Amino acid sequence: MSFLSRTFSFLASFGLATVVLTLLLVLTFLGTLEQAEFGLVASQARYFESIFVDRIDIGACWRALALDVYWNIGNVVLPTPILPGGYTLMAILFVNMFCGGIIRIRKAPRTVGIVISHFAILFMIASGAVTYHFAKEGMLNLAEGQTHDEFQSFHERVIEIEKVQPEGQKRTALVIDQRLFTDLSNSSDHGKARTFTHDSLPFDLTITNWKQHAEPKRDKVGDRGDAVDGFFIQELSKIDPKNGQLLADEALSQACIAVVKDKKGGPEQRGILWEYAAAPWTVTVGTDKYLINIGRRSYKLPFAIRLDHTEQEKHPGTERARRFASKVTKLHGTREEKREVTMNEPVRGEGYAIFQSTFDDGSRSQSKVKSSGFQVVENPSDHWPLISCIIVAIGLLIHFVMMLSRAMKWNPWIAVTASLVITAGGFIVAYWKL
Amino acid sequence: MKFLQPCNALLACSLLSVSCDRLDEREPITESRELSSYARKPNVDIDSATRFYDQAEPEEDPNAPREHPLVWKSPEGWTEKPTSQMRLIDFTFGPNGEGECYLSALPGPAGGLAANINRWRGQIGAAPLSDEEIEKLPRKNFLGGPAHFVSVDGDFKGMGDAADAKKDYRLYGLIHQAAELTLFIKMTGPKALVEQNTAAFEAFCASVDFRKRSQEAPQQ
Repeated sequence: MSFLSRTFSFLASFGLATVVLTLLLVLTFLGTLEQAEFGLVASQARYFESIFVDRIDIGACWRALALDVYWNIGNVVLPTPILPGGYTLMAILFVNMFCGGIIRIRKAPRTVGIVISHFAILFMIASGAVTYHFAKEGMLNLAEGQTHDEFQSFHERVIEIEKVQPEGQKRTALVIDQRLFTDLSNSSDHGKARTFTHDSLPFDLTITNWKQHAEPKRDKVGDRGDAVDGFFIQELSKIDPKNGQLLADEALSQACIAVVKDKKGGPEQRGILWEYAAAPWTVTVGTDKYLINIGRRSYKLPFAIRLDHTEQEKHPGTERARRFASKVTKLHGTREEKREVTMNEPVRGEGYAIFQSTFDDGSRSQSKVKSSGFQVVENPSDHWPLISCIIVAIGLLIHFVMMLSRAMKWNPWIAVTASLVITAGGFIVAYWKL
Repeated sequence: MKFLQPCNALLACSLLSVSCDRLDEREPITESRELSSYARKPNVDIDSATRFYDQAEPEEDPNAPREHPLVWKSPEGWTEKPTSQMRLIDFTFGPNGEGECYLSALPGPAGGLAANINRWRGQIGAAPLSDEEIEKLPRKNFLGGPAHFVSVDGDFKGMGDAADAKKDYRLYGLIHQAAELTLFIKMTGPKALVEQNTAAFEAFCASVDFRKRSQEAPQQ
């Protein structure tokens, strides 16, 4: 047996599939437990989107199982990457299923259903990869009468630098991705800092003392060494005091210290960047002004949306919403298209789905202006999981009917055709009636 | 032994280079984006206290009567009502006080110019205006600058139901947008009554000023 055929046999083996599926089970178990203390986004990134799980917090898992009631083991962490992450395991499973379930499987009429199902599962794994790499998801808040053509990511943060231009001129911003500053969490006095440069800027920007959840506080006594312009960054607890649960990532407010160093040797300027600040930090270098802020990443839509009107129905006698609806206009240049978005009926088009997410009748923002929050999703593989589920169902149906017709000594092709026609007919009737 | 010293030096250098690397790490910015034409106008030169919503002045006596932040001239024949949190200046006018005119202020852009103008138009049963139409609206002098002026006729329902709308009303609205707050003057009443009081409305709008600015003006 050659090396290649041995490798192929290994990749197509049931043994490999069993190991991968067992590890996926372990990942799901640990990731779900850690989620209680680290939150959904962090656990998802560590366990399901990683090449290797960089650390396993045994203590957090132990507490999630409430075993600390019997024996408190404290903060036990396995700091080494001993467990492959979800990304790696899904890639191996894809190769294993392709080799074993498509290439190596015996091609015969009675395995047609199995091959179809395997193909559909591969399609589902591929759709997961496409979603992970290419999907964008975020929020667009509009007040009645307001128009916008950008939405903001739920989780991705950026630092943006914008040169203040005369009114009417095209506005551009330099963007620093979060992966370049979210590791700078030590105090500014201890030097975890990174300097960002660009030829068009007359200064270098150093970011330090990043905090995932914080707010600026006034230095009332005036004795803090880390105070900037009378304020310092106060780190906040990530536990929601209302329910004791970990705050969702979208509820966290990041902050950091920014230091601007004039390339021509002018004085150094320091400022606090805060995600919920009412305005960006203004820096003057020479005769030019620059705005620097930390916030959510913005994505451009291929069209603009104007919120024309909002509607809200409440359950009788309660303040609970029964239905939100937004009448919107999609603007493509001069062409206008009237659409309605409701809670379960998104507006789809041009690769985007726009869902009604939140509603404010003006009381929450105290602005008296009605507004809607839309969840915007751009996912090239939006319908792929549904399609793959349908194909899996068809494959399994073919396989079961094949097996049944063998046992009953029916003509398998007639039985399969009849069952597919009946199933499709059932779906059409259900769709038509419902 | 002869390799010990160079090895130690190498080790020290590598440790030093690691720590220096952390302190002096440089990263070129490679990404940029064009801002949308719908993006909010930039707020420039905003001080830290405003940026961080910290406007508290601890020296101030909380029990001391507060000076109104605005100054104005009350039109003749109008009745001034006590101010509230939402209405900084509040008048009624007309034989039975059917007409009302008040000034309110909200922080920031308060939902934007278009949203507020179209909200007013919606209250009197008029169709919303496009951004281009809003841009073409007349301006009136308010707080030392041109402010968007709206005049709409129709059946006024305010925040209530259309079934309870008051017939043949007129609404005047004026919006002044500053970097940190938006000020509104809204006047409503029966069409004929509002028409009679148009000059009084304009005189009132022109008379409104920030107290601090009005005190500083003579010194300039």
